[in-house]
Amino acid sequence: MDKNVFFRNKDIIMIGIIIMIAIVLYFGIKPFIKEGEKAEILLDGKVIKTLDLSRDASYSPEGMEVVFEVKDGKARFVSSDCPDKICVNTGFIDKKGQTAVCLPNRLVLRIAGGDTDAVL
Amino acid sequence: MNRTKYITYMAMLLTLTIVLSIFESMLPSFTAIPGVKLGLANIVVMFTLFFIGRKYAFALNIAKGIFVLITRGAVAGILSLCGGMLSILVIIFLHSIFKERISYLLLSISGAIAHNIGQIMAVSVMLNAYAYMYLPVLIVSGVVMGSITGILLKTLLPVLSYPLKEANR
Repeated sequence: MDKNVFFRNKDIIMIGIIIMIAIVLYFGIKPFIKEGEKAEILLDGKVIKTLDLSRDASYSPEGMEVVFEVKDGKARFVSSDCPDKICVNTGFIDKKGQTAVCLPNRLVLRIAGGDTDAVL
Repeated sequence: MNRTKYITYMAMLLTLTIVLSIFESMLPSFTAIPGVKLGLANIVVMFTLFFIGRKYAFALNIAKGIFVLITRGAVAGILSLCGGMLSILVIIFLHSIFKERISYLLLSISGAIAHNIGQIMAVSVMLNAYAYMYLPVLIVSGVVMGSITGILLKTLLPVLSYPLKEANR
C-alpha cells in the first residue's frame, strides 16, 4: 500500500462534500425528533414515577440520595450520591427516547412521548 | 522477519493499541457529546492495515475488543468491535476500489467516520433507537478526528515501521 500519497488538494473537496452531507442529515433528522411529554424514572427497569414535563417539579425516590428535577419542559438528575456522577453530568434531557442513567443506583431517567414508536 | 520476531512485533502493536485507548480514556473529554473521541488506538490499527496486512489488522481489532470486553464490560466491548470492524472493512473497500488514487488522509477520515457509524448502529440495536440523532455530529467528528489520527500516523510512521525496515535489511 506504500504507493498512496498522504494528501491531495482534491481531498479538501471530498471533506467539504462529507461535511455537507452531515449538515443535510442534521436538518433532515431534526423534524423527526419529537419533544417528549413525560419523564419516567425507572428503578431496576421498572417505572417508579412519571413526571409531566409541562409542570416544574422535583422528586426524590424513597430511601435514596438522588434528586430529580423537571424545569422548563426538561428533566435532569440534580444530585446523586454515586461516585461517578455520570447521571448528573448528562444534564437536562427533553427529547423523546433520551435517557440519563445512574448505574450505581440502578436508576434511569427516560423521556417518553405520547406514542411509543421509536424515533428513527 | 522470522516468526518469533513477528509475534513479538504484533504483541508490541497490540500493547500500543491498548495503552493508547487507556490513555485516551484518561484524557478529559472535551465535548459533552458521547462518542466524540480521538480514536488514538486507530493509529496503530491503520498502520497495521496499511503496512503489515489485513488479517493482522483484524486480529489486532479483535484482541482489542476482547480487552475492552474484559475491562469495561460487554456493551463497551461490542461497541469497540463493531466500530473497529466497520472501520477496517470500509478502508479496505475504498482502497481496493480507488487503489493509489485515494490519499491516506481520506482513508483515515473514512475509517474514523465508519468507526462512529459502526458504533451508532450497535448502540441503536442494543440500547435505544434514538442514537441516530448523533449521526451528523459524529460524521463531522469523524472528519476532525480522522484528520488528526491520520496526521499522527504520518508523523509516527518512521518509529512504528522501524522494526520492519530493520528486518528487511
